[in-house]
Amino acid sequence: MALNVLFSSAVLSLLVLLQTNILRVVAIGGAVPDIALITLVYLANKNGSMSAQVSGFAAGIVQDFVSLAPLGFHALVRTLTGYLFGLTRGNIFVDPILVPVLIVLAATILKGILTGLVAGIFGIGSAFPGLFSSTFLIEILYNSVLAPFIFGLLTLVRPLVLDTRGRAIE
Amino acid sequence: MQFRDFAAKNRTILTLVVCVVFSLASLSFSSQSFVLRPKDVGLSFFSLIQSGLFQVGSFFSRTVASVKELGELRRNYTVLLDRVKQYEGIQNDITELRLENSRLKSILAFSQQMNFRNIPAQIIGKDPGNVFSTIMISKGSADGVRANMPVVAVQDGVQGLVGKIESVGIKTAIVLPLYDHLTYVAARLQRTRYEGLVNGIGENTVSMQWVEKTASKYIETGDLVITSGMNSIYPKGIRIGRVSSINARPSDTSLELGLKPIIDFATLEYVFVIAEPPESTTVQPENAVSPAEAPIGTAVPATTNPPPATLHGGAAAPVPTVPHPPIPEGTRPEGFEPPPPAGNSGNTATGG
Repeated sequence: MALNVLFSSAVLSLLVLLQTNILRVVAIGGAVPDIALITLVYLANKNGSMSAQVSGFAAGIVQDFVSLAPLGFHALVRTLTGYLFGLTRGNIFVDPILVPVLIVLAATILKGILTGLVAGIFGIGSAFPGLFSSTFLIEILYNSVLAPFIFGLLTLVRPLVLDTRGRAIE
Repeated sequence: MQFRDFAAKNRTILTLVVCVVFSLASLSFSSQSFVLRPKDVGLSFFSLIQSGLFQVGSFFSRTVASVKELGELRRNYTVLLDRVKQYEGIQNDITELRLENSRLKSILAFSQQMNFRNIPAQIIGKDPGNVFSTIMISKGSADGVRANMPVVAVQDGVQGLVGKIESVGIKTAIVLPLYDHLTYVAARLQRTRYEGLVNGIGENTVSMQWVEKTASKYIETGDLVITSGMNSIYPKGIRIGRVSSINARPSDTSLELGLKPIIDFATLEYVFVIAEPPESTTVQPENAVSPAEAPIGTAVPATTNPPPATLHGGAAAPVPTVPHPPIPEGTRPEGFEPPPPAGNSGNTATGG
């Protein structure tokens, strides 16, 4: 399990770093898709809260290091996102298209709400212009549209690299 | 024993609590300046990975571009003769190289033109999310970049303010851009000389606040706003933006001006970190016009900037700079004049 958590954390952290430059190529209207969030939601649904919250925390810390956000900002948001979407494990059946779209739509909106809450509580004013911008709306749609493809890709790849027995991690 | 049972049963919740508490503690500490160090340490570590990723990304983007170019040549193959197609491909490459050469030369010319030590850098990344306005550059503490150094850029021959260095890793640094909510710059209207405070309001827009209300009669849309040099970070005379709107609310005691930044951040590729601005040691007369303030094409009277003073009162040793090769006469960008010889660091720059 520890190995799986480590692997998930490494993958999510790598995706966060990719979002800083390489994935900027596919930005629409300045909005970069949050591939790390989509992957986190997928892993949370497959592996449960324990693994997802730790992986989310690790990816969040990496994101804090490479952004203007104070240390702990994204770590908190992604930890809570990982935990909450880990609760869907065993409770939501993920079909190929509709559920990934809805679940990622909800995750992105939740990310926005949590970001706003944390920014409000800690007085991080520079987070608000980005949050209340058209860019964030585009990101919500972008993530939702990409969700079925990334879920499909991860479903194909996961047995090869994660849990070959297809068993839940927790 | 009971604690072990409890911990085993509630492992998930306990881990969640640990992660949340750590995040909250980090957040609390990060709001105080003395605890920025752990962030810098982390940035230093991840900047190495980031640099590697950037290199890999550049490689792939170049590869993809090459494949695309090959595909184009192949399509042409069906229409034109083989030899002609080859020449066309070569011609395309040459044109691209010429454009790149011209762009790099203008940047080099600008770098030479500045009468203070600067560190050229490339933008290698932006914020991983879409909430913060992070800009990451390819130079870090190993190259002499330090926190709070101002960052400028040149676009279409015009120098403009980009922001300042917020945190520094070994190989990369994070720039707080002009349009960020946390950016405050002491500024002045170039024509009317009224002062104010420029503040970012997000989404590539900035505003100038605390401008004297009586100035509304004299300020016009399109007026240039420059740094006033009245704080210790930004040197005097760097262009910030042009007035796009004038808001004079009856209830307010001051004006608020909307500004369009000089720099188009969407197309920004290269920046210059100002390592040692001479203005920090030289007091300029009120009516002095710095090169950046001068209208394009206007010659500015040459002045001599003394070498920066040291703490013990003597003149500091000249700052070592990387010598640039001379630029051939025919390839200089429009309006560019070669830098004056050593000892006369004042200039006849066109203010570009």
